[in-house]
Amino acid sequence: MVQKKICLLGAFAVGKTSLVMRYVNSIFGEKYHTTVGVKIDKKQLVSNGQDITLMIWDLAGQDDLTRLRTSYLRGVAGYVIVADGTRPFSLNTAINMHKEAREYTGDVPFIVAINKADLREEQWQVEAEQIKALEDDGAIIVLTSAKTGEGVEETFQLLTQQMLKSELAPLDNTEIK
Amino acid sequence: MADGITDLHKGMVTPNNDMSIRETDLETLRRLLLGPEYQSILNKTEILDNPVLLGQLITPAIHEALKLNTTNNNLQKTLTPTVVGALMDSVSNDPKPIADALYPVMGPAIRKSISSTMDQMTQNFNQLLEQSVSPKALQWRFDAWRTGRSYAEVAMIKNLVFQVEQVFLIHRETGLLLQHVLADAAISKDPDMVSGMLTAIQDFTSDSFSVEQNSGLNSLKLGDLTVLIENGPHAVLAAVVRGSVPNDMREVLSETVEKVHSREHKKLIHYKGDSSSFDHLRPLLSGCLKTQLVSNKNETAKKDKPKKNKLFKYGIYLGLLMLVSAFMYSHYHSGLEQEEWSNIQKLFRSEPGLVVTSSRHENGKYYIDGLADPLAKKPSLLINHGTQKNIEVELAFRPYLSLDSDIILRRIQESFNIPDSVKLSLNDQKLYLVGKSTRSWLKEFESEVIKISGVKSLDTSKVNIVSSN
Repeated sequence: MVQKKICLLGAFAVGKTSLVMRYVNSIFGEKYHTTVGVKIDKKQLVSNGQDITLMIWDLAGQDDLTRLRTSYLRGVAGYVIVADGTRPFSLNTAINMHKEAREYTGDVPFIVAINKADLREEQWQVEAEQIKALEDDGAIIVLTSAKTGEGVEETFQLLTQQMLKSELAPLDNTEIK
Repeated sequence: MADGITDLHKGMVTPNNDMSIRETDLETLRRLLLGPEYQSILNKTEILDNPVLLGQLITPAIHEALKLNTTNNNLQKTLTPTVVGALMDSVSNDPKPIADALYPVMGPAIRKSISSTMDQMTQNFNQLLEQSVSPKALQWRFDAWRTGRSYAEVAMIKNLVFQVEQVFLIHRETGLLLQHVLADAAISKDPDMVSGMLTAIQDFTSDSFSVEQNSGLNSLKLGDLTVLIENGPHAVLAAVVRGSVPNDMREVLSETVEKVHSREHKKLIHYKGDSSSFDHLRPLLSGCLKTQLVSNKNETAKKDKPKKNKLFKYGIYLGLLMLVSAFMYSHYHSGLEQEEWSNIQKLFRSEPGLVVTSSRHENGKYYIDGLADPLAKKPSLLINHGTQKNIEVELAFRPYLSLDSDIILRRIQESFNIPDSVKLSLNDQKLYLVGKSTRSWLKEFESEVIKISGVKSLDTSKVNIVSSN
């Protein structure tokens, strides 16, 4: 059984916790976010025929006032950045956070999850250009909905595949620390 | 050589030659006489005169001497007074440089020593205080006396009740669980998540409070549960201990962490998340699940003891309760008796025709002696008539004639045939008659009643004389 530590990053109220709620086993309550600033959940999945356990460090939401607790990022094999599709600003926050995390984690795989995709028809405010720009930078983008479950499984599967792939490429930056 | 001597001879006997030539000659002579050795002596003299060169020459020698010192302590002995003297000089001149130099060493050393001493002391104190007055303590004192050990020692041994329930080996970098061992009876929640959260809490505390690097959280306490955390550079060992943590537990943990690092140093650095590669460490970790015989014994003993203690306590409470209620009852009872006794005495003293000459309480019995007019109420009736049930009274009354007005009136009523129409009353030995009577009766009455003791005069002014039919 291979275990991987991953992190969930994102602005306040983008739905990080809701995203994992329906997806994971958890023994810790919500209050850990406000006290310790992180809640740890566990998800077992199979990727390329291999059993993988993801230890998901769900970090408390950040904004301009609270800094990312970078020490929680130590040793991550990958991370998911969550943004809210109905609040374009949350995508900016996510990109900043990604840059900040990058300095700390090095070149590890990541996925950008744009959440609340169930509101795509009504309140969607993310421009296609924004997404394209991100994709051009090499980001993998998944539209997710914690409400319907759309894209959630896919997000973690994609991240796991990326992580396993980067492990097989020993010259990848992740390996040199 | 012979030529040289001739030359020298020539030079010496020729006074006209100037000094420099002679000097040169002498020099030449020296060289001739002593050869290359002369040159080497000259070089050495130069070295001796020049401290820089001398220094260069003897440095390797000192180096060698110091090397030799590893086998021979002489140099150390020789140098000690000098070094000590130098240190003392330096300190007395200006202690700051030495203090600065020692500061990083002394601070942690002192803190560590103080805190460990204090920890131990409070631990010992607490335990001893807790145990100093209990049946257990008495037993221990007996054990101490029997085995010839100090009481503190016995108490300490008996108190080392603990069980290491689980041990986590955590990868420090990622917080992932490498291995987890569990004692037989212990229960564990998902150890993967616990290990992650423990790491997060470690990070949280060291982020929140500025501490020295690498000095993470050492222990967490939760009631009688202690989580001991031993931080290594790449792996963290956390042991969950129930009960009082023995002093050598930390040592066991740090030794284990050291062993883990020395065996698996590379694997720890390049850990990819496959914990099965650390499976072979399980026996090592299980070594930390301390369940010594002593602790086991105490473990079971501990389960019994509180029951016994409770029984003992309840026994004491019950005994106390009984004592108190008995005391209260007797107090209450004697109070009742007292009250009744005084009531009886009052009754006897207020009853007309009775005189109490003495009343006493002897050997649990009550006695009343006195005098009783035959016309008064019978003393025994007086007692039975009362409500008293709790005491028994012995009565001894002798007859007498009472001059109580009530008794005198009764005596008059008994002695004379007094018509219903006449009412009598006595005041200050004067008898008042009110009502109707025949003259003849009144006359007879007047003459006879004076004979009754206690009646001195008569007032018949309120008697209406009626005809005799």
